[in-house]
Amino acid sequence: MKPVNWERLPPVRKTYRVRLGFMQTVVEADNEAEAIRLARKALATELPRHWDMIYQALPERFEVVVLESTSRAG
Amino acid sequence: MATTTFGKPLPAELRQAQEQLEHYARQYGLDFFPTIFELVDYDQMNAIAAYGGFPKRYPHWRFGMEYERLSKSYRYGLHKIYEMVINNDPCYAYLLQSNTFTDHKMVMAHVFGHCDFFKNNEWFRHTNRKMMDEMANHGNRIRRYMDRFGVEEVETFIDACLSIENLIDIHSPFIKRRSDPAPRPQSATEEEEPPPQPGRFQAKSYMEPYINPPEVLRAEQERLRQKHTEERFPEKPQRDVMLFLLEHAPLKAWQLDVLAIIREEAYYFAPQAQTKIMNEGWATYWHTTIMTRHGLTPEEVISYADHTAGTLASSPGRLNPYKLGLELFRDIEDRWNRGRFGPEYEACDDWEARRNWNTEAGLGRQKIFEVRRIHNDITFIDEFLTPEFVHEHKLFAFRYNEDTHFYEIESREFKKVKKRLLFQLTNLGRPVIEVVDGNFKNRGELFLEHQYNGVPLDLKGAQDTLVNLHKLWKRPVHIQTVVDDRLCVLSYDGSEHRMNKGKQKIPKESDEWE
Repeated sequence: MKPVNWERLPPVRKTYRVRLGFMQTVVEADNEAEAIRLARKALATELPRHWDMIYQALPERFEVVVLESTSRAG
Repeated sequence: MATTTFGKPLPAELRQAQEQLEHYARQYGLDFFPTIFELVDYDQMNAIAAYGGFPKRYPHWRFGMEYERLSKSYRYGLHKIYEMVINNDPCYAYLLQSNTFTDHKMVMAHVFGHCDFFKNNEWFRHTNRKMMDEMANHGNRIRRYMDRFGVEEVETFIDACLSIENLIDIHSPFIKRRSDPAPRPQSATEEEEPPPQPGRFQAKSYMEPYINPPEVLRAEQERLRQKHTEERFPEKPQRDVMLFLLEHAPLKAWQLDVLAIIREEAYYFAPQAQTKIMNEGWATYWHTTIMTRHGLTPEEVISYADHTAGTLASSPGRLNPYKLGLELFRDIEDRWNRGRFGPEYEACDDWEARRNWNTEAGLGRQKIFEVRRIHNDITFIDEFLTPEFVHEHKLFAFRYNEDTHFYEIESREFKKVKKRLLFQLTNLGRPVIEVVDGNFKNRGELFLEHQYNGVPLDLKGAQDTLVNLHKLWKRPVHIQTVVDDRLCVLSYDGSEHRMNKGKQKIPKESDEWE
């Protein structure tokens, strides 16, 4: 059996719950920065009238919590 | 700093709210003239509204009539004017004293939207920003004429002018259709143009009959006279009937001045009618944005939501400019935020893919500011009304059913809905009428032409207008239009009306539209 080369495998994707004020969404991402990026997109689509606020909000305003590891991307 | 007109200045609490809301409005990029808010009671508000928003105007019976109508309607609880805002520098805005504090804040945020629109929309660029003073001057001039020539005479003349106040060319401030007119002679009859003379060769007196034979000269003079009468006057059809009358009607100096005043005011108000949907949509967009994000306390939310819902309520067969304008602005913002524009998006015919389209372009705010700068209602709807929008907001074409006495949905088809909407807005929903001949039959009669687009003129109204036009032109007047699908000329010669119907049928306009 061929040994698994762990270094060559894509990183494990995690599920994050991202909250901005009263709004929140759950996204799958590789890291927190990507989770915030995806959350901005999802929240802005859901709340088109707050697009400007969501995109202007600093990363520190987002509350990011890891829910669980899901799968390996790729 | 300008002072208040006749309402009360704001109490400290409202002044503070004004400063806060103005701060937020400017933060969002709204740019407006200084805005003066005044508190008025319902009676004063009705008086100002009856005067078209201006506290000082010329005296005329129709303002009194409008005031009576508004007062009665208010007493019966049929309407309530929340605010009134004047396109002027500084902008004046009137707040209804009996409104709640939440309403006042909402109205202020709404007013800042209007003021920004007045200042930056291209269609308002030519309007007089000192109209408050100008209207007061108009009032003084007309009062002076009334003192001199009698109230009855001046008011009757104003009635005649007002009946043609919509016969102006609303696009003329932006298009140079002709060279600048020559200064008007003192009176149309005083300075007749000299008749055209044939050219003569130089000759000694004894040779004159041989070199310039009299019969040849006579023939040439007749030819030139014929050519002169065949020349069109005006050269091209002229849509600004009021201007044509100002330049050519045999009126006294005071009458010309009154006509010029009515025309100037008509041009001042025209952009407001041309941009009703956009202007209200823009103001509502900003009051909802500012109020929901910054202006409300928790206990005010219900009252605010209730009143905004009332303003935005729409019903079948009725076009609510607030609702349509607001939703279109929001739709444009969303589309440009998500990159739902351009050839790639247009070429996509997968409904699901179009709905979920998102390139994160983030250009929404920038786009709506651009739209508010360059568009009017017609171009706004022509450019931005999409099948998706029509579908989502349930915009249908309605038609009155004579049998059931109800409005019914005639079509859900996008093209028909859009066509119907644009049709209502073209030339502000008024008939297009042009002067085609100011010397009809070479008898100095006035001939107008109605550009028929499928909607016939109201014959009673047309006849009344001809009577008023005759008072101004003082010679017989005619208008060509279409009655019962046939070309028809309505005439009035100062004593009776005539109608000459042609025999040929005019083909009906097709419903097909690309």
